Amino acid sequence: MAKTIEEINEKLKKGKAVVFTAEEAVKMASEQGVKKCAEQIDVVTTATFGAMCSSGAILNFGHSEPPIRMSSISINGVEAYGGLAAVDTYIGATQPGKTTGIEYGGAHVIEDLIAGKEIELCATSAGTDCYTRTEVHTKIKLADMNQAYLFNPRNAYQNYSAATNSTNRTKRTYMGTLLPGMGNVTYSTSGEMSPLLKDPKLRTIGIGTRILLCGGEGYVAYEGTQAVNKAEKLPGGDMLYSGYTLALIGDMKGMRSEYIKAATFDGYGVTMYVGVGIPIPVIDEDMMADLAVSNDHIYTYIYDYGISTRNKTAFKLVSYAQLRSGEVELNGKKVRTAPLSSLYKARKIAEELKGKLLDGSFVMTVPAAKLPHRDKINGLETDGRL
Amino acid sequence: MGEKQIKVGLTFPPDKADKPIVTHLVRFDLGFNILKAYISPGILGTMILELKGSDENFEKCLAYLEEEGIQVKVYTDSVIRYEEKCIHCGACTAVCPSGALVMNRETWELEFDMDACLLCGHCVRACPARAIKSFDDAIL
Repeated sequence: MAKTIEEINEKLKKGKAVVFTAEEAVKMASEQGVKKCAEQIDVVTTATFGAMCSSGAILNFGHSEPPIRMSSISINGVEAYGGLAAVDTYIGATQPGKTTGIEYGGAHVIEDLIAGKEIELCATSAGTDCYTRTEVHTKIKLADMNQAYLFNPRNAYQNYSAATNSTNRTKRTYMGTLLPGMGNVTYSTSGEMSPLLKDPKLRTIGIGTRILLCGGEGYVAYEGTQAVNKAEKLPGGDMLYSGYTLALIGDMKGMRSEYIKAATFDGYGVTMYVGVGIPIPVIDEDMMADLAVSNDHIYTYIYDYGISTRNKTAFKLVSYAQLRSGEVELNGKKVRTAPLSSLYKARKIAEELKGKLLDGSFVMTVPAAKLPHRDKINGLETDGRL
Repeated sequence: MGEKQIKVGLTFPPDKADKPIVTHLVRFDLGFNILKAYISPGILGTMILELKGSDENFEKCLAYLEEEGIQVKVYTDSVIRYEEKCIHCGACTAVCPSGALVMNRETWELEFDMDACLLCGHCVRACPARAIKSFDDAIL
């Protein structure tokens, strides 16, 4: 009973398709089995709302009179890249403000733009024969820009390690504040709702897949940076998938403040919470089997973030059901767990995408190309100096 | 009249830091627990106390402190969570020592229990969305 994406789209159009959120699908599968679900469900919506540092926006301001070839650009006091054409720029989410530091950075500029706020643009240039202006100071809103789109090189991590800290000092990390002596554990994947954990073999998500990005229409642009296909068969028979990432793109003008949030990780830096929703068509029973996997069969390792190394020590393999229970056992001691990605928001995104599929305002695309398979990930070799 | 429990912030003027003031609170038949204190002679001192007792005794105690020139603030809310800014991520629950900030495991919304709050302020810095502001920045 294999179905194509086109067939499912046709069913959606006729109002005859059945759409479930990932959590609803997991529940139904546990009660009625995978086969029944595969027969009845056409699309499963997945979502995540987590901190994704590798994000940013491409902006085009339009030309001033006389024009300027901007080479040094700042937006609300945050530096934006000046190495593109005259009035194009890229502002990275993690860029700290020149005077505001990590309390107001690139992500905050992006958040303010999406909220419709006016931002202050300052740019300078050496001046050329064709671009005589050397300075510009003005105020501009998202609606005034020609193009403004997020282009996030690494989003939607398939699965992320959980973090603890074995040292005797508090560590302020991108995994939150980690208390000494393994005082807490933080985790950041939406588990059974996570898009790439529900399509771990990348059978339906590909280049050109239409998604919900920060509440607006977006697309999978390419594989994400550092993407790697890791699949480990665990002793109990469950699979541990991790490592794949997506590069995402989407028009900022259609985005909503509710699904994007600039953030400051204390002692670490600026980052951006990005809301991603991806529909997964139930093309066959195997697809449904992957979609049916629940939090007690999805695992991650708890790593020691206390020590700065790329080869972190893994302390324990835990399931998302354990992490979400509020505590896990580490070294014979009960340790509190805390999420960092918002499951509350992820649920809202999955629900919203379900609604849009059903009312016809979101139509699934057939990928233009498959995402590449990556066997390994390279490190960076240095000359040995520290 | 039942017993109640309140949290108060005391500000000691520089010239009061060396006076034995807290010890006199015993006279008012109140249970007290020092949650946080920074007192040093010659500089402005701050202290956060949790007091337990009857309304009548609270009033007497607060009158005494004011008489001694100690500024008193009664905290009815120790931290204020800005609802519209909170994304319910849970980062604050990683550092909350008393469990005052917890995730509701059904809805995955953040919940706050004022009675359990120790006014440590760790959550204020740990909140990525900067959604938690302290009632009184001076106590942090």
